[in-house]
Amino acid sequence: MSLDLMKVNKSFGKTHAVADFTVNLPKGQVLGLLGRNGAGKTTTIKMILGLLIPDAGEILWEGAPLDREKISIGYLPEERGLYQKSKVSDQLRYFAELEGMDRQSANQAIDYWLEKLQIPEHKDKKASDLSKGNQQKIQLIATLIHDPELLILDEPFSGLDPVNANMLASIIEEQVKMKKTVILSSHRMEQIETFCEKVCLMKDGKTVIQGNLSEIKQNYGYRNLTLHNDGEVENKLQEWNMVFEKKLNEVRLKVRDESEAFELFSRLHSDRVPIRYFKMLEPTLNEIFLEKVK
Amino acid sequence: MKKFAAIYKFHLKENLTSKAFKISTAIIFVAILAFFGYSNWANQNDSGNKDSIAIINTTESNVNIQSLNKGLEETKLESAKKNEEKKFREKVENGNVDGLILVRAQKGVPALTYIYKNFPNNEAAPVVSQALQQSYIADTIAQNKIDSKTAASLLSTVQVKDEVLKDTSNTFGIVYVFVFFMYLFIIAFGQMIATAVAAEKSSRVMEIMIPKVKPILMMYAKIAAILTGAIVQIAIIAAAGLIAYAIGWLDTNELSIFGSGIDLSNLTPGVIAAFITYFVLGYLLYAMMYAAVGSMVSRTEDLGSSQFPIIMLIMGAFFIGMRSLFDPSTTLVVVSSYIPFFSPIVTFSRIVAGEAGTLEIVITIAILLISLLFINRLAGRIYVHGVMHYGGKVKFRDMIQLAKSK
Repeated sequence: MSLDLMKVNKSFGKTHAVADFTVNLPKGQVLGLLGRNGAGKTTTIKMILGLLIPDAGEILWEGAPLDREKISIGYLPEERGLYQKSKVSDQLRYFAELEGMDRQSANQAIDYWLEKLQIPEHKDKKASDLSKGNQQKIQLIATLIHDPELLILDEPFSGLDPVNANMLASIIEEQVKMKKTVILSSHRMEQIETFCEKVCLMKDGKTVIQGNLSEIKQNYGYRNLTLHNDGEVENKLQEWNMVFEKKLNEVRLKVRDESEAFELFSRLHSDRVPIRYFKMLEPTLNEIFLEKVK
Repeated sequence: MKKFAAIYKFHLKENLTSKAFKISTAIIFVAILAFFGYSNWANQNDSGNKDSIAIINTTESNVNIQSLNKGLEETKLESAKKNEEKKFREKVENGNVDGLILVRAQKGVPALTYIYKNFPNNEAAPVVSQALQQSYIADTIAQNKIDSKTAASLLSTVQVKDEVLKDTSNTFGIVYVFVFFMYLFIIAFGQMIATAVAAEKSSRVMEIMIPKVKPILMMYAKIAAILTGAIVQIAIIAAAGLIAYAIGWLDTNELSIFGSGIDLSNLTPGVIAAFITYFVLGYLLYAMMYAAVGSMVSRTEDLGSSQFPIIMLIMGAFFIGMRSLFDPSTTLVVVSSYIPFFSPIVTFSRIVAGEAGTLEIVITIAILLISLLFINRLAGRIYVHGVMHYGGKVKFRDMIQLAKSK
């Protein structure tokens, strides 16, 4: 019961947009597709949607080649757009009907979602009369209205103000709780880090890192160790020729693992350097990203 | 099929409820009624307002003005006294009288001078001169005591009888109207398709649509929806004509366009069927090309230059169609009627002119259908790839590449 991409490849002319992309996403899990602009995220998504046909490789849903007719997908494209001259309710009903909903349930779903996103007053307005943020909400409704099994959100947070971004985050969370299979693509790590169990970091079409987010962080190879700095710590570190980063009244350095940290503590302790406090954190996704895709 | 119906319904509603559709239809409707209303009003006013022309006759030959007036439709003749020439000349100059006819003897033969200000009345002078001639001849016969039989045989004229084998002059008006409408509809509704596709693309709503439906289905449904809109508009135009006819504003015998009469007797069911057939086929052919072009551009602003080749084709068809008004059997017209891009207009005008035989109709329809299949595949491929292709200006090379790719 999962979405599988196996050694998927796609080239446009001489650019190898996606190379040997392989991922296994069990049903009900969230995959974060990360990478800079042009890394191949949207191309991968378009192949899952069947809009592009891979040059090689397979895309499977529950073990069989993914068939768009059989699985309901909610797709929020990176480039946003609506029928500018049509009424909001008309086009939402149209999108719902194209997903096989009947008129009545479409109308109910429209009312439900407009209410939920706090924009019921825009139901009979033309899309062109709405602000950009509200148009994005309408698009989100278009993505979710038919209660899809597989949700693909391409850069969902771009262009949203903090309030709307929070609202979107809570809706995504809700969808995750409803055991929807979700693919999120972004170049802003911190926004999607909270949702994703699995991440896949892409660079120039290639997969740089892939796997369970907590495992990646655990095994990434270093921890960020932060110590209070009253001058003595700094001096000692300099004396021992260690690389560190000096913050306002803290120093930050990278250690391989806990044992290296404890070793450092005991050296400081034996040199009678007091340790007022310390913290040791896994690298953030952002750090991993920046290091990996540079 | 359900999806097709949903797309068709959505675009039809969008089309029929759009401001552009409502306004243009209202304008056409009012314009047609106004046109017939005005021409009816002008006709009525004309009949009560005959040109008045004065006659000053200084000869012996007698002209019976009263009996002449009975035969004149647009002119009222008035007799004036012999010494009033100067006064009437001034009246003509001032516009109080529309004309003055002076009948004077020149070497014993009556001669006629017609004086008018700007535009001559074409009816009066020939009628008066004929009456004058008859009266003069009768007088001469009587004076010279010529035998009436001799006189009759002397007077008999050589007769000219027209025998037209194929008279294109009476189909001229109707072909003109239909060729023009065909051209107008194809270009107007074709452009509507291109704009709709390009707008869908440039507004990026296409990104939502393409995962939901096969692009080719969208293309067909949109073409069908706009065709329906076109037919609704044609029906409204026809309704305006019928209303004008019902009120009595439309005199079918006097219908004309730019002076060439429209003979509605040429409007047989066969011709109407041919119009619909060729219009639908021609529309589909051009609609697909327009859809392909619309799918190639990323912004609606780029549409103008990209659709130029199509406009060239349809303009070519229009001008060859116009050529066939005057001469439906020239080589250019005959050859063009077999070229699918031209045949909707050209072959149709040849049919109305009575030049196209059954074989020609069958062959051109077959050619049209075959090219429709071909264009359908080509345009379909360009469309499917074009809608996902964003970039700068479209090059012809890109188009070929898209058509080749599967």
